[in-house]
Amino acid sequence: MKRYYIKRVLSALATIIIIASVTFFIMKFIPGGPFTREKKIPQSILDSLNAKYGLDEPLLIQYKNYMLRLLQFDLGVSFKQQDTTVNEMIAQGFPTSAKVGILASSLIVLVGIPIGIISALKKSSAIDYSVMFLATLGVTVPNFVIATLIIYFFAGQWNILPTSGISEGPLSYVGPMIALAGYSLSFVARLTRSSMLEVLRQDYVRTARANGLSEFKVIYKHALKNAMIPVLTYLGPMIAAILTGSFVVEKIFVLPGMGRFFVESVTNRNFTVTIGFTVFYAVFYIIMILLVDIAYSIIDPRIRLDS
Amino acid sequence: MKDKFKLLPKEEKRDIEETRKSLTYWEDVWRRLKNHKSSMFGLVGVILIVFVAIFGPFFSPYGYEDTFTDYINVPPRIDIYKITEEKYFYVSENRYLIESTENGTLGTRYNEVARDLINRVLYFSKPYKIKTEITSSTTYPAPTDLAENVFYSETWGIGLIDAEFATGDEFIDIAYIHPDSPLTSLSFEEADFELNDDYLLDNVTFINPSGDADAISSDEGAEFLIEQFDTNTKIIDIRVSSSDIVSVDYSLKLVEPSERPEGMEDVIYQIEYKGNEVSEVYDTVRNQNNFLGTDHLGRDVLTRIIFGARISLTVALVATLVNFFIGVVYGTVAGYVGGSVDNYMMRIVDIINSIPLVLYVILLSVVLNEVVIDFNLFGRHFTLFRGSGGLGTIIVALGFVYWVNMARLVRGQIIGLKRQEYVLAARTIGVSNIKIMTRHLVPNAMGPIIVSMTMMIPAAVFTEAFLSFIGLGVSAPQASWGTLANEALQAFRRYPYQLFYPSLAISITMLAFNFLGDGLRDALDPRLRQG
Repeated sequence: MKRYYIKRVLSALATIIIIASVTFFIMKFIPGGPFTREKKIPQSILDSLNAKYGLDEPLLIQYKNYMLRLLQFDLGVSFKQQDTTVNEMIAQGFPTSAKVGILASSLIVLVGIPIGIISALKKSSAIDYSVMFLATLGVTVPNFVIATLIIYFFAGQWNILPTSGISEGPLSYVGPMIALAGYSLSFVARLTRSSMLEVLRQDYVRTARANGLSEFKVIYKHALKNAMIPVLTYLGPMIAAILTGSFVVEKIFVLPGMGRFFVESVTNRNFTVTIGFTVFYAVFYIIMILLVDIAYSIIDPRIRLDS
Repeated sequence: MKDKFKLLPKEEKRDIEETRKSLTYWEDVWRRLKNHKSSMFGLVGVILIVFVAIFGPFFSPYGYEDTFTDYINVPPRIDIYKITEEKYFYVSENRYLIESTENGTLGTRYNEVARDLINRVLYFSKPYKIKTEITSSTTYPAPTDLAENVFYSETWGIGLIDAEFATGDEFIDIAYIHPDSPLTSLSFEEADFELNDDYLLDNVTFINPSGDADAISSDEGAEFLIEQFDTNTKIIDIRVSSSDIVSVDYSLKLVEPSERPEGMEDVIYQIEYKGNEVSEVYDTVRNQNNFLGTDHLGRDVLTRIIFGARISLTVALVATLVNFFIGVVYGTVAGYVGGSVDNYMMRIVDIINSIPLVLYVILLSVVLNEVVIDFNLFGRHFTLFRGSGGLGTIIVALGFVYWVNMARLVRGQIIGLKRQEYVLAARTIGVSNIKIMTRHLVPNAMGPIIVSMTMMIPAAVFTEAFLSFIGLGVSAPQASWGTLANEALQAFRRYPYQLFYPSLAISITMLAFNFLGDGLRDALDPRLRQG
């Protein structure tokens, strides 16, 4: 077991290094640098700027320097924001993204899974059809549409929610939370339903019923555990993506989160920010996948981690 | 014993045993699909959407670039004001006064002639155009002694007194005609106008140098002001002054309905024309010119959605096909070869998957910007790929990223299938590896692959919309649904319809493909039937 964890952590580190390297070379390969402007900057100024940030060195030396700093958790300085390191930018944007993200994730888990179970148990009933209709709708409507509809109706027409920002108390989190959760919530509900139906048909469920277990125990102790496996597989990477911010939702609701910084940095060739944010996301992603794997072995002891 | 059975008469005998026609796998799938209501609904939807995308542009009266500068940001449903029996007006959100008919056909846009910013009143007059047949392109220098309020045309060599808001019976006053001008006998004599009771003017006559009279009829207005000379089209824009002014008081528009004076809560504009004051909306009617309204450049929203369907669906379809080929080949090889090759191939997949899509798109759009692939066929020139258009870049970027999911799926299927006995049998009789993959493994994995492809099309529409939404999509004036939604976002609180309809198009498409995909999954693998 111990060996397994060591192996997993090492392979995760290797993946992060590879991701950082690939992103580094992609950003270097894209024409235009962080100092490219519409108006031409004099060559001498450009040279001194490049020298200051070590951009005049050969590519491999730059790469070596960057990776060495990365190993010390130093993600470098941003070329656009004055006197700001990438670590500071993450520290600044992540709390907002994470707050909205945690709310959205809890909404997905606390609403998506239960309605999926209910609709599986009441299969082919009116509840089932209406839940599935709403879930299909949720999967098909893009999040920018959900977000703008929320602003238009709840903020514009009925004046229930604030239109933008998160400065106006807990109510201002409602809009971003729903817009962020909409798709995944519907997806999780659909996934829970179909995997629950699959499990309820299994022989062991029939055996459990035949042995006289209460319906509650059959469903929540025996069926639900196995039905959760595909849901967990989806939830892991999804939570990583939601916590690190969505550009669209942050743009529409004007939230000071991480998603906005990332897209801007790519278009500005602000590559320290781009790589920093990519690595940050990758770390999250890998941790979530690891957690999902551990959760598998807890839910279903037949799944052995080290095999 | 013999009596207990009776022989049937010959014609009632059956000579063969009745059997049901045996169905192939795909016939069976089709039979199951037909019984699945929502998926048939999806199939019909998909066919309709594809049909509109292919043929819609041929039936569309406008092009996607056509702009109606007079009708900017006009919504699909308009509030019209009835002034007189035949005169209806529509005041647009950006305060254009446009003439309308009772059923919503928009007419001339009135020119704003003055604005009173303190009382918040705008004054409009109808623009008139009078054509003359003058072909001279000489310019005629203005004399030095013209008065300050004289409008002088260097093209025609005539100077007119600026009679804006002039009252009384004067018509256009000619201040000066250049001696060489072709308009030597230009006349605006009172006798040339036939005034009827409603001050309608008939037969405004210009006499050109060759002596031909050019009769123009205009339907109303008593006094004219020549506003502008257009050298190319030889059109004089003339607008009505004084008595035909329409005033629009928009002061209440700026106040919240609850804060308006009593009895005026529903009033938005107060329009006054020839003493008739109207402040009640006569009717809300469908815009007959542009069924779904126009955007911020006066382009027809419906036309742009139809053209956008082409772009969105092309992106989705081509990206899905690219994914299909790369994903199936990659997944089959990884799954079939197995071992460390499989391990390395899957790690590459993981890395590709964890680098954000936005990075690829920008990289590819920059790299592909200069790439143009074209060819000549039957003497015609076709452009197969043009990176700078944005469309090719998006297709390549989506194709480059999405195949990893397909590869994973195919690999999983192949790993399961390759242990089956028929593969072993094929191997023992010496079938080559490539043939085993193409003839035995891939066809048997086809069910989940097709389901995944159906689900990939809406995902690609979605991603394309997202990329266009963050400004990395197809370049203007072309527009996909995502671009349309993004453009509309700037002012969606004032013009929600511009965002609503493209979003609806995206949602309906996704819904149709999703229904179809669900149905196909159930039909291809009855074990997974959801109920």
